[in-house]
Amino acid sequence: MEQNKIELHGEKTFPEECCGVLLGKVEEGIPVIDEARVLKNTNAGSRNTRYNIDPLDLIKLEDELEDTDRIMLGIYHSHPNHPAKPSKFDLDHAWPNLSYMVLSVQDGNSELLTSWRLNTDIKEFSEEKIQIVEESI
Amino acid sequence: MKVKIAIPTPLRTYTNNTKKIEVDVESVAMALKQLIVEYPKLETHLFENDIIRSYVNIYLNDDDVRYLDKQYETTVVSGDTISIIPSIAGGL
Repeated sequence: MEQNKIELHGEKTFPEECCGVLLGKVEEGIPVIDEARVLKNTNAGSRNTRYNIDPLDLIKLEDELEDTDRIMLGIYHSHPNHPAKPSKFDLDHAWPNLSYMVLSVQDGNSELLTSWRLNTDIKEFSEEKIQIVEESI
Repeated sequence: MKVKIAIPTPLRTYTNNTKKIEVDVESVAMALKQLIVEYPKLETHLFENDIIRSYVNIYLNDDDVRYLDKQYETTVVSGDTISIIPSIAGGL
């Protein structure tokens, strides 16, 4: 469900990059995402190759999550007509302890979604496995 | 003045998962310095050569401190919240 939401978002904003946040809980040391929250790409330059998330959106989000057991687990964004691999620019702007999902969108069609996490030396990413789990009813 | 500093999720590892930290200070700059004294592991993520890193946004309540007249030397009043907001950006 949430993966579909990310893919649809990437297709909708193509050829611009989409972006949003990944929310959920850490269960037994593993981030379990229960929501991909669509946010606006506020980059003032070229949204085809860059994304920014408005800091005020993040403040509102932290306020919303403050009294809950959910946290921001990561960020997602798309790479229009480029591979689903984080760029040097992504690396330079990455924060520790977050999952960075990258969606490749080719000619308007979403293809591969990958997830990455900054290494402890904060000099490179390592790829994470994405596992789709059954939603509880 | 007692103010709270809101710690963003990715940096809570360095504050023992504490979401908000109260400090008794006079300015935004003093609050950030006090934070580093209490949680030294935050320093490399917030400062570069004693200056706030460009990828870190500091808000006093709803205002970006960089756009206030006195910037980081802005005085605080009791009840204010200082938020550390990572600049989330990327691209190709």
